[in-house]
Amino acid sequence: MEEAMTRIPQLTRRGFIRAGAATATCFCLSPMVEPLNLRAARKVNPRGSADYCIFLFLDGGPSQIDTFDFKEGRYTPADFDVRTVKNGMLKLPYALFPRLSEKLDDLAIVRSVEAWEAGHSRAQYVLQVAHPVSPARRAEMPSLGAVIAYEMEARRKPGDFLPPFVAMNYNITSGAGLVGAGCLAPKYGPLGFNTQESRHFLLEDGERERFLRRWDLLSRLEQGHPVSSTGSSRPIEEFRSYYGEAHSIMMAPEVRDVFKLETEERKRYGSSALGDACILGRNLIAADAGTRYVFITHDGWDLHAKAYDKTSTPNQYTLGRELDAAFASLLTDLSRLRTKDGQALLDRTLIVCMGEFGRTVGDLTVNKGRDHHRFASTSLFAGGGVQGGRILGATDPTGGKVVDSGWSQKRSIYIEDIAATMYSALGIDWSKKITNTPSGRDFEYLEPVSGTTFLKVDEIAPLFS
Amino acid sequence: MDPAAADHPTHPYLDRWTYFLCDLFRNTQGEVGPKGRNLFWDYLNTALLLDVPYDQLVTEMLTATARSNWESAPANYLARNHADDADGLGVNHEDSIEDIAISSTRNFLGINLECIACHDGAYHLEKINLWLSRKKREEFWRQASFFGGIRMSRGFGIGQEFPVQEDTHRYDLNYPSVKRMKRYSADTTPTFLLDGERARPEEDLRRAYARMLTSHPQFARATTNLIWAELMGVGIVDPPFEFDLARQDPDNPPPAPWTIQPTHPELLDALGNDFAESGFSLRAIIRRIAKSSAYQLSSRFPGRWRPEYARYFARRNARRLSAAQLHDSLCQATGVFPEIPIMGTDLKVKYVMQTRGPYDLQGELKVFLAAFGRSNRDVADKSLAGSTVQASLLLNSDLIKEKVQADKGRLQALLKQEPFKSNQAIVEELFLATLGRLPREEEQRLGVTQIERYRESGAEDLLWSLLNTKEFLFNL
Repeated sequence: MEEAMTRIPQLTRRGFIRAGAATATCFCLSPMVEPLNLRAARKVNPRGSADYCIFLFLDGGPSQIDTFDFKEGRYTPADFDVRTVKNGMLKLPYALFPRLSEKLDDLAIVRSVEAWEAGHSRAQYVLQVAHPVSPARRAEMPSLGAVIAYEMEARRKPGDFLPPFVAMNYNITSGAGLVGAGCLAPKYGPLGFNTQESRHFLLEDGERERFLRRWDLLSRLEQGHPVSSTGSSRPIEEFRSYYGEAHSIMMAPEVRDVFKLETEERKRYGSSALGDACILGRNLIAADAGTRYVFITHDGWDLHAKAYDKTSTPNQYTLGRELDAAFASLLTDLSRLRTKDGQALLDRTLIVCMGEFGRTVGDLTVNKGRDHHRFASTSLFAGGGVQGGRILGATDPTGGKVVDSGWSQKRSIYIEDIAATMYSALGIDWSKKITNTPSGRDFEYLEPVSGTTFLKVDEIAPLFS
Repeated sequence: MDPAAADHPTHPYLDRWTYFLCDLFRNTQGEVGPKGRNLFWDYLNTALLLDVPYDQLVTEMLTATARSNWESAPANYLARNHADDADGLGVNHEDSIEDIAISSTRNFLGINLECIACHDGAYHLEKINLWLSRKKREEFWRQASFFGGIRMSRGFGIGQEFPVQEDTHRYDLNYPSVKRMKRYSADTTPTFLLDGERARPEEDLRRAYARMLTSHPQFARATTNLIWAELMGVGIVDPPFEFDLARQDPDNPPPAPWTIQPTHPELLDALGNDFAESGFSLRAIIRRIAKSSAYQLSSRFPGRWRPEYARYFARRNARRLSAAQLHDSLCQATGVFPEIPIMGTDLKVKYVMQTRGPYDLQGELKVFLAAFGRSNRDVADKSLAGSTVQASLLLNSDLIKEKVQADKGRLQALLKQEPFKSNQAIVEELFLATLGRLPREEEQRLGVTQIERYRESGAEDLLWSLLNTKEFLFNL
């Protein structure tokens, strides 16, 4: 094994903070973190086929056999309108996915995914971090998004005003919580918000002048404050920088276009929170102003009860149709939009769509739903170099057990492999580790051991060929 | 909020500390349903009102049995720690009793057993916790084994209603865990982890556990430290749930390079003794700390500050207001309040501190509170870390914009008052309402100028600016 030392340059604050600080305030920043030591443990060859990544997280765990690993049974409702599409490639409940049925050329469907955990909190944590839950190390473990933000720092351009990692509609009432930067600097953590509440980054028409007036008064009041001149403390200093960042986003002329939600467009995306988040996600990436990773949550897939009951929302139909409209429109728009050098934006944006685990198979339970099941689930991939129109892996006739892994390894695919695939597409060496964590234990971007199982973690190469 | 101010505790005191205990015990309808949650809230609120001795409260919770946690309040402590089985519906008995052991050891003894719940301390915790590095996983099982008789199930469907019963003691080490590594066979005779004590003949196991736990000096020390940390922003042992019992006694120091863990070991022992002697009165220990000169320090320090002064309490440790404190302070300062319906009741409340749990917060309140790091009472505990989103909310959210409008709340009262107040008086009142002090000369001038120039709108600007100062946010 070859060891390569990479020296990470002293981290500089973002261009957009600089701009903000210069224009309006006297805010000064303390250095964020010490440089971290990174060593590549072995040689891998990240393909660098994408510049951006969107993760559509289906919160609660969708039923694989009612979606993209469809298994028809006596439980299947008649109005699912089951059709065989794309020249016999697959069967789908057409009533749920009429538009994605037309987009199968863009989609690679992986049916051999297994999860480590079967409880939401823990499984959602693992989904965000691609490491097992470790009580001792939880506080210092960065999420995938934070590592991506950190790795992409070097590619930030002057004038980039958007944060590298944006998370929308994450369920904030319970669960694992949105996993942040861990041992990395706080600026690599997610800018998390709810699409319904995204307007606080926007100044309404006619509000701008007044906002500047208030900001000016605030700056004057803060300037004269004794704490500004003597012994200010670190949390206060950090807050000054957060104010600077927020101010810069609000002041950027392009920000209006990024956060705009128009009625017609909302309709096309399905008029749902997921649809809105996909519109904003598309805008954030198309703006090419610093955002690299967008984590979008689609809430409601935990259908323990009344899964097919249309009088009880959400249900299989509402969730399927919301995903259908939003995902299909996102694919359409990203293939239409162009990067600066004329490529389709979709070709430079990897999209991953999955839940934290699958659901039980066969007839519905006594509660007319499906419970948690970690031994089989389906993930969708598109863009960023992924070759669509294909299916990898297979389950048994019930859909409850993986029988064909679909890649060179004889085992099922886990989140670690999916993370390696994301890192690879984004050109990130996933064999790196950080050696000066607070606990003193190395943080490996991906660990070869998960729980008690040895994994030879690798990217899912057949997705790309 | 000083409870000594009256013979009877004030509502702010009760609300604030009920909220604290609900965070600590992670009381949420996500785990015990709205009925269980509300009942548990009432129970804790009443316990604070009556100043029920804390050892008694803890014993009651740990020994509770109930036909349903929706009918018996203290059973919610145990019900809240049920662990779902692999299907997300059944209750995993072994994981549940282990979670109860982890939770009770954490909350009442300040010790984090999560690591040794999966593996021995050896070869894992040598650099992290000396005492735990010598503990074995099977010793953890013997701690959890006190709860082996508990039987919880979803007896009434798919909701979060649980019978909590005492049944035949069992601890099936072969039953698959949903959250921990595979177990192996071992002796699981219930044994108290801190001193190896076992139940007396005929003694009820859970009662024995509660007796050992509340009579151990670490119970008083850990509880006192927790309240100290809540009030001071940093514990004498910090974080407060990471006690290392091999590093507590200055007369018996740990081998180098380890040092004594508490910053002020004598103080912690003295406070613990004080708490025990008061009959475990939470009100007494809160009063004791709140009246200390350490608590009442100013955050300003004359002269050049050096970090090593911190341990001598040379100035107040700057900490951001918590999510609930910040929201409620914004309301109090502006006189503009929301009406928050309490789920499962007809009640509406004005303060977040009066809510029963995170599910009560909807819409912009939910976003605001979550962004400022309120505990979700699941696995994401309270956080005081800052973020860009927090800044954007304070600068430009509807919640803030509404609170500073001249036709609402305090500002309206100030501006419409007859005889009219001078601009100078308005500025003074706004400083008092937000920062609790009068403006300095330069601040007075800035405020008056803003009002002279922009009239009512200028008063709004001033209120908005004061709410956005670090002095307000950090309660400097």
